[in-house]
Amino acid sequence: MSTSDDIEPRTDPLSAPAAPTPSNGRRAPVPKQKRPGAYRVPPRKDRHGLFILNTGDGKGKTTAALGLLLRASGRDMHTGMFQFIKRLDDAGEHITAARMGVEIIPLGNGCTLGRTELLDDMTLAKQGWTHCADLITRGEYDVLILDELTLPIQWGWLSEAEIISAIKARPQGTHVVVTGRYASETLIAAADLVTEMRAIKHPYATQNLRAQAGIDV
Amino acid sequence: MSTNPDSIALDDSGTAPVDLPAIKPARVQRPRKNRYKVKDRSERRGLLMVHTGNGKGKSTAALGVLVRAAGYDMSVGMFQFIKSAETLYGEHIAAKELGIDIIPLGDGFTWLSDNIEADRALAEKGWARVKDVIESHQFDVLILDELTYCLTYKWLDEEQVLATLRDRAPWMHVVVTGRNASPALIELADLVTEMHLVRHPYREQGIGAQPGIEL
Repeated sequence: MSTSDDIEPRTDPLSAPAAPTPSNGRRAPVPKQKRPGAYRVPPRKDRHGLFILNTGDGKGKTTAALGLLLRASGRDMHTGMFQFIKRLDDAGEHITAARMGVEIIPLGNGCTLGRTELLDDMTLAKQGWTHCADLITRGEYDVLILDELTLPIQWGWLSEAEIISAIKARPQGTHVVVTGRYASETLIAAADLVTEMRAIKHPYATQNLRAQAGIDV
Repeated sequence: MSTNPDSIALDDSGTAPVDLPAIKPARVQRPRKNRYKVKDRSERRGLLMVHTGNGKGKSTAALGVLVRAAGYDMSVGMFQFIKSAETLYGEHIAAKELGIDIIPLGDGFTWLSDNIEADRALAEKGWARVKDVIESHQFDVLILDELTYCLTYKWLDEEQVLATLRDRAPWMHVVVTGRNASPALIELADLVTEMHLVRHPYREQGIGAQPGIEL
């Protein structure tokens, strides 16, 4: 996360790019607007696999990852989400994912706030990462979402260098999404697409409202 | 789906990640059951959520809210102001499977054309439809995608739009997305997130929109 909270430029950040340079030397596929259904997911060798990072202290990190999950599953891409730290496996997103035939798998032991004995949580995070690293290396998923992965990194449970090298070595054309606050500069530098969700207003803080079904869980 | 370490080996082939020491099962601190339930409309506190900023994730996060709400069988409606009906995005396909309609209000015409009057008429037609939906109490969660552009370009009267949102049923969750949310809209909203662009593959690497990620 950027520490310098400077005023963001008002110019369009998506201004004209340099020429696309896909990693395999092929020309990047340019989607054209045609009749409904004309978009096709190109084969992996023609895809730009992205490392996407959603960080910041606002609402929307996991939520945006869920939106990606919906999009990708609509394109019949093999999509999966692994949730570090989290424990619930029957929240709204899990129910929907089961209906869509997508896996959202919690790997954690629940919220760590106010708990002191976290040895089990650490073991679970390490085991979960070993599994996810295996999935990344084998290219099982077109879109693999690693939810709240930044937290075990921040707490020193997982090696950041190892995670970055595993994600960088992913097979051509696979997308990896990492969410969670406290993303370090190293992780941000390694990612292709980084969005910082900034909380301008949040009802937990301003109105003392709790998490609501259907919105936050 | 379990946090039991014995079932961490999730792959079909049954090959567990090796070289892991045997560990005792993690203690589960509290019951694992999801205690969150959708409250009755009379007890629910509807939120007005605004996703703004120049980064990726505004509409995408709105889709995430849709995913969550759909899991609890809430009625969800999504109306897209800028997007044209000509294109079928991944989310349209997936939402249809879930029985949710994502409705582009473009009516097959293009937005942002040279003809400002046509854009304004289209926006007003779309807003009339949305207003009907708000007043009909049809949806628990209503997503108004890219609505802020209609306000920025003055296609819609901001006072009227904000008044309609303010006077909505108190249980109705509304998500508004789009860049440059006005101060009045931010003031009215309960939850505002600015998606701040830090890195973007189009800006840094010239990689355009891809199916499954951006569309």
